[in-house]
Amino acid sequence: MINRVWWAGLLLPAVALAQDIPLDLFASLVPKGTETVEVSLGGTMLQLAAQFLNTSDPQQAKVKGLLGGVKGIYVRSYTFKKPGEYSMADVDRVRAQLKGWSPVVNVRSAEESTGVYLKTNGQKIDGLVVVSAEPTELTLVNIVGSIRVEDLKDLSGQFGIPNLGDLGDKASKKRE
Amino acid sequence: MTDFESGLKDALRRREPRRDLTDRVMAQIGARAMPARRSFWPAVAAVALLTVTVAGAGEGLRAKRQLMFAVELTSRKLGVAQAKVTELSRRRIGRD
Amino acid sequence: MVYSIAWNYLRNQALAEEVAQEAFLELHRRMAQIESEAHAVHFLRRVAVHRAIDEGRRTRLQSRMGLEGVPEPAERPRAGDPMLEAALGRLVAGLPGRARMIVILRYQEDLEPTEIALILGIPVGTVKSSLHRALSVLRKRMARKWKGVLQ
Repeated sequence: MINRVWWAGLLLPAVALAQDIPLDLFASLVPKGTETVEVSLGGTMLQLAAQFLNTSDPQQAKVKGLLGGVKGIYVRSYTFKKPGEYSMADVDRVRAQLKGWSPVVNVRSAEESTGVYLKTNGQKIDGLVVVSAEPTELTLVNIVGSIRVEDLKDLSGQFGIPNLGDLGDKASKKRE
Repeated sequence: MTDFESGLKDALRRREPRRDLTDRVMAQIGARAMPARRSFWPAVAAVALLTVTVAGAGEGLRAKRQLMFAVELTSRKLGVAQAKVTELSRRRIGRD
Repeated sequence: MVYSIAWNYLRNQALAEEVAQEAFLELHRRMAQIESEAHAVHFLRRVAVHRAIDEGRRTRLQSRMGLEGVPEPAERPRAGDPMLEAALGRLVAGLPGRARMIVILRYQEDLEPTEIALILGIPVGTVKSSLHRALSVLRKRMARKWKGVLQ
């Protein structure tokens, strides 16, 4: 009995570290030839990646700082040859998994939708999901663990895209 | 390449170290990295070390490239989301 | 690679293992500065070469002094002449330090003279002339030792 409980303790973190959403839902749904990028960095692989970050590079140093509470980073990005090659209903199925998450951004039009969701635990953020559905590009991002959206906001400037501005502030307000 | 040089290549071919070399290297890394209390990092550092081989090296570097890509993409998508929110707010203010 | 460079240079298993350990530990210390696989390989190779040369100077190993009985590291059975290979290995070990390493990097690692020059920090011309001289010495010594076996 004691041994079983001990092994269960080892297993639980592995389960807890898994993705929050069914990222691979689209793997079998997208047409052949769809340009697909997959990143699955959890646990040891994430720590291993962090080891190789060069902190004398400001960008890499910031990424290293971001990773403090992060337990996993998962990305699925699909680039389609033409519009209409995936179903928005399938995207909604992914969103349906996010009950209990706080939608920080939820913008929708006929052809595209963007959602940013945070899993909060009291004052803490325990997860981030981004669902970006555009006519020829579908991106799902799940960051598991504690992350400060403001830190990502800092990085957005570094990567040469507009500063996140209000988005980070919204995340802060959600926590208050 | 001459026969003599081929002979040299054979004579100087790569040798395998004893199997426990890896264990000893890992132990050394653990001994150097470990403070008074146990830490996760020596095991991770040891794993990092093991992956750095002639053919390997890459696992950690590939993971790093994936990490940088993932963070960049996430930041970019958050930026897009921000831009849409800003645009909607602007339109709403325009209507009011 | 790392262990092999050290072993072929030092012909001593314990010393070769020490050099290999040091090279990997050095890599571990500098991991954050490593930018690519090729960089890691180059770094490891460079550290192994220089550590082996330093160790060779320190212990002043000579091929004439007791290398005959040095056991070879374990390896899979291969076609070829093990006695000839062992003899060649010992003759290489008898070359002066830098020439020995140049031969090892050329024939174990398949490096071009420019790459060898980069690792050793010496001119390419020096590498080429050292290699040429080393091969000439090895052929002569081999011929003397084996008297026509190579023909």
